[in-house]
Amino acid sequence: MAAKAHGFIPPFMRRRFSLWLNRRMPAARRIRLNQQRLFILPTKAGTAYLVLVSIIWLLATNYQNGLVFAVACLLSSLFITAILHSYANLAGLDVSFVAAEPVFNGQQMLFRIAVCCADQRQRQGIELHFRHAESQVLDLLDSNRQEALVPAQTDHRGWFHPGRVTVESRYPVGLFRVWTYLDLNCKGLVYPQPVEGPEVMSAPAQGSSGQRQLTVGSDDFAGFKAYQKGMPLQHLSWKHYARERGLLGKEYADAIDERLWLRWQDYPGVDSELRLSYLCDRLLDVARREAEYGLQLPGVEVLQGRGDAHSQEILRNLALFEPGGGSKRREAF
Amino acid sequence: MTPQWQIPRAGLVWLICAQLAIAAGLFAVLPLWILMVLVLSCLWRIQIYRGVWSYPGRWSKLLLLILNIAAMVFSFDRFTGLEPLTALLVSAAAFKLLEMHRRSDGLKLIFVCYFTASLQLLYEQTIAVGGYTLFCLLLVTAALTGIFQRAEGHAATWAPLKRGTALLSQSLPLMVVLFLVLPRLPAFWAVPGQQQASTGVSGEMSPGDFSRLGKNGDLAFRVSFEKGAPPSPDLLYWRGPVLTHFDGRRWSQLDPINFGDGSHVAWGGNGTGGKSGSHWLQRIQRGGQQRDYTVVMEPTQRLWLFALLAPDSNDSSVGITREMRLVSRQPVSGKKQYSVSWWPQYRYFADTLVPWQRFQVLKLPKGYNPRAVALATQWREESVTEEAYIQRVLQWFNREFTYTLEPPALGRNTVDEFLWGSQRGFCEHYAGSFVFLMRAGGVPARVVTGYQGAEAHPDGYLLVHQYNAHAWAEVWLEGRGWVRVDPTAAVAPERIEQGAESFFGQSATSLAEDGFSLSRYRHIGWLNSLRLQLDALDYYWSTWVLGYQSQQKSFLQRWLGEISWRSIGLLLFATGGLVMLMTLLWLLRGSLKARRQPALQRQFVKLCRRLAKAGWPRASAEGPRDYRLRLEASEFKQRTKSQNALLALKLYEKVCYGDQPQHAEAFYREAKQFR
Repeated sequence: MAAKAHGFIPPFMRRRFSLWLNRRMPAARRIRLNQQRLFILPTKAGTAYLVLVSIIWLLATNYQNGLVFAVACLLSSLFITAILHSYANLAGLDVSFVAAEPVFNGQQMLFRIAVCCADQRQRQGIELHFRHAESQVLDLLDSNRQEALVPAQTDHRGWFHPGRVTVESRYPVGLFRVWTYLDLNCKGLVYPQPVEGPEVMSAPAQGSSGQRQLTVGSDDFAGFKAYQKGMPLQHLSWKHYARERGLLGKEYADAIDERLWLRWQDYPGVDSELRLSYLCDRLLDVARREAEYGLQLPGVEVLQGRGDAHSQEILRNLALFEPGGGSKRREAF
Repeated sequence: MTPQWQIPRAGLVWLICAQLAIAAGLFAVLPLWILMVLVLSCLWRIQIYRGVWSYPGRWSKLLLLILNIAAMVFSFDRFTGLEPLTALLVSAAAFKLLEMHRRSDGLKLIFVCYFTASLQLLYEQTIAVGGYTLFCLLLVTAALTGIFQRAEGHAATWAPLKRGTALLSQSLPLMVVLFLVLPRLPAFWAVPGQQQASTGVSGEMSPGDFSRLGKNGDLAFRVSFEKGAPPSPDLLYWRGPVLTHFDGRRWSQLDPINFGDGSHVAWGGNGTGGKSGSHWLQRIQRGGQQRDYTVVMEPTQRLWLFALLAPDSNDSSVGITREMRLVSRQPVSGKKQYSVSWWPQYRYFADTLVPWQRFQVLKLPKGYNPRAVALATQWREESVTEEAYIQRVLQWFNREFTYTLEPPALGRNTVDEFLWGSQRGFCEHYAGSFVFLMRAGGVPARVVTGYQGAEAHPDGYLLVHQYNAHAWAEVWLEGRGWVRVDPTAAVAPERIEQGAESFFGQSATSLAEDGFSLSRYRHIGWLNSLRLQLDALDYYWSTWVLGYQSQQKSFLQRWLGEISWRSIGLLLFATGGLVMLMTLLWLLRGSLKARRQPALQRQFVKLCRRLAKAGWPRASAEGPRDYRLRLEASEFKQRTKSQNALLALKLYEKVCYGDQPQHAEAFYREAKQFR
C-alpha cells in the first residue's frame, strides 16, 4: 500500500526523501518506534469521516439543534482521540531484523523481522512490508514478541538489501495510518540463479593421489533416458518435467573419480553471470550425489569436500564472486 | 461476486447491535416494514457469516430494491423531509449489510449508522433520547473498532465495546470544550420541518378548541425572569396569534398580504436592519420598568412565539409584528429559547387607526347572529362613551353567565345561541361573543389567543401548561390605542387571579386526562415534588444543552473576558492540548512504567554510588558477585557498617539471579543501613 502511495513521486524527490530519512532515522538492527519515527496521516476513510462530521454539523446548524451539534463535537473529538489510539498501537514497539535465509536469484527472500513490546499492552494489525512487496500482518496479543517473514523479490545475486521496511497499522478505527520506514540493515545472500548449462566432462581432480572408487552405477551423471517404472524418485529430472519435455530419468554411470572440480573455464565464451548460473546448477546436481567437489574461479579456489556446509561455502563464493575483481555495492531504496 | 473479505465476528456482532438499537430509537418514525426488513437482513447476514446462506445474487438484489422503493412510495406521500430520509437511510443500511464484500463497505455502513444515530435527535431532544443516542454512538464505535480487530474468540467479542467505551469517554472532555466554545452559525437554508401533529394554541379559534386544551397537562413553555420575582398572575397574558377575521363560526388570523403599507414584521438583531425601517414601530410607546425574561418553548411546528405586552427582542431569529406579538423565522420544530424584554406600561397605535385596518377590525359576516347585532346597536346608542358600552357588556357577562369547561354544543348562530341560550362557556365563547358585540356596536375589536397565568416552580421559573391556553379580547380606543379586555375575568375572576390549575383544582381529574401525566396527581405531595424536580432537570437541560446557543456569548464572556477569535483559539488549543496529553499518558501508561528502572535496580545503583563515595567504586565490567568478593578480600571490611553493604550485595545477588525475590525487603533494609 505504501508502494502505491509513492508511485507518483518523481525520482529526484524520492532521493531527497530517502536522504532525509537516512538523516532522521539512521540504520540500526533494532529500532524503537517513538514520536520521532512515526508518521500519522488520515486514511481515505478518515477523510470520509471528516466529511461525515461536516454533514452532521450542517444538519445541526440548519435545524439549529443543540444536541446534533453535540454529536458533531463528539465525533470531531473522537477523531482526535483516534490519532492517539492509532499512535499508541505502534509506539514503544521494538523492531529488529533477525535473519534471512539465502535464496537463489529470482526467488522471494523472506526476512525474519521481530516485533516486540516492552510493556503488556496489546497491539493489533501491525503490517510489515518492503517497497513493492506483499505485507505480513501480525498481532501482539498474549505474547510480547512476534516474528514475521517479510518477503522481498530478489533481482541480482550477491548481497541483497531490500531497503527500508515499512511498519504500519490502522488499528483501532482505520481513520488513521501510522507508519514508519525503518532501515534495519536487512540483508541476505542471493545465490546465482541455477541455469542448466551444456554438458561438461567432469575433469578429474588435478594432482589426485588416485583415490578412485568403483561403485556401482549411481554416482556420476551420464545422461538421460525415458522414465521407467521403479526408477528412484531422486533420479527423475524434474527440470525437464517442468519444461514439459516429458518425464526423464537421469542415468548415472559408475564414477571413475568421485572428486571433481567446478571450474570457471568449463564454459568458455559465456557471459560471466550465466557462467555462474551454470556452475550453480551443476553444483546442485553434484551436491545431491554427495560427491566430493571443489570450485575454481579466477582468484578463488575452494578445495574439494562434501556436505551442506561445503556446498553453502561454494554457493557463497558463487554469490559473492566479482568477475572484475573490484567490489561493487548495490543499494536499494 | 465472491467475498474478498469476511467481516470479523466481533465487528459483525456490534454492527448488528448498533443497527438494531438505532432502528429501535427511531421506532416511532419508521414504518413497521423497515424494521422487519432490518431484522431479516441481520438474520441473513448472520447466516452468510456462518456459511449457511450465500450473498444475494444480482436479481434478488434488484427485486429487493424494487420492493423497497414500492414500499417507500406506499408509506410516504412525499420524499422531501425528515421521515422519508430517515426511512431511506435505515433501509439502505439494512441492505448494505447484505452487500459487505470489503472493509470499505463496512466503513460506509458504519458512517451511515453514525448519521442515522444522530437523526434521532431531530425528533426528540429529551435527556433520555440524548442518553440513548450516546449509547447508539457507542455501539457504532464498537463496530468500527470491531471491523479492524484481528483477535478472535469469545473474549475478543467484548473487546471492541471496551475499546469503543475508552475512545468515546476519552473524547468527552474535548467534546464539552468544543460544544462550549465553538461558535454557532445561523441556518444556511430552510429545512423542511417534521409534519407532526402539534398541540397548543392554533392560528384559528373554532368551537371546542380551547376546551380540549383546557384538559391537557402538557407543557407549553417555561419562563424565567432575570431579576426579582415574576409578575403577579393577573399580568401574565402570554400573547400569541391575534384573530381578526370572523366567518360566522371560526376566528382566524389575518393574511399578512392584507397589510397594505410596509412590512408586517420587524426582525430583531443587528444583521437585518429592518427594525428601524418599519414606520409603525415608532407608534409604540413603552413605559414602566423594563424587565428581561427568557422563554423556552416546546416545539409547536408553528411560527408564533409567546410574550407579554409590550415585548421587544434583540434575538435575530425573532421578529415583532404589527399586532405586537413575536414570531420566529422558522417553525419551532425543536425546543426554542428566546430572550424578551417586557414593559408593563404601553400604548400602541394610540393616535389613529389606518382606514384599511379599521375596516378589518370592524368587519362582520352578514346574516349571522341578528339578535346580537340588534342588541349591540341598541346598547351602543344608549351608552355615552365606548368605555361605558364595554362596561355594560362586561356587567351583563358577570351577572348571567357561568364558566365551565363542558359547554353545550352550539348551532349556526353561535353568538346568539350562546348569549341567550346556554350562557355557559369558557374563554373562547366569551372572547368571541364579546368581540362580536363590540364590532356590531362599532368599536374596533379583535380576539387574542395565547396563554394566561403560569405555575410557579420552586426554582423561580414559571411553567405554562396547555391548560393555561386562553383567549381574550382587544379593543381600540381613541387616544389609548389597543387595550386588553378579558371578558372571562368578568365571569370568573378567580380563573385569572389564581391561575388555571387552582381554579380547576376542585375538579382536578378533569385536568390532564391521560393517566400517565404526573400533573394529574398534583394533589399528592411527594408525587408533585417529584414532578417539579423532574421538570427542573428538564428545564436546565433545555437551557444549558439545547438552548446553550443563546447563552453562549454571555457564558464565554464570563470566563474569557473579551471574546475574540484569539481567545477562543487559545482556549481550544490549551484545553485540547491538555486533554490530548492526558489521554496519551493514559494510553502509554504501560510503556512509561516499563521504561522506568525497577526499584531493585535503582536501589542497587544508589548503593554502588555510596560505596564509590566511600572510596570503593565498582569497576565498569564488574558484576555484583565479583564486586562483593573483591570488597571482602580488601580492607573494606574495617570500615563501619561494611557488613551491611556486603550483606546487601549478597542479598541482591539472590534476588536478582537466584530466583529468591523474598529477600528483596531485606536487601532494601541493609542497603539503606550503609552510609
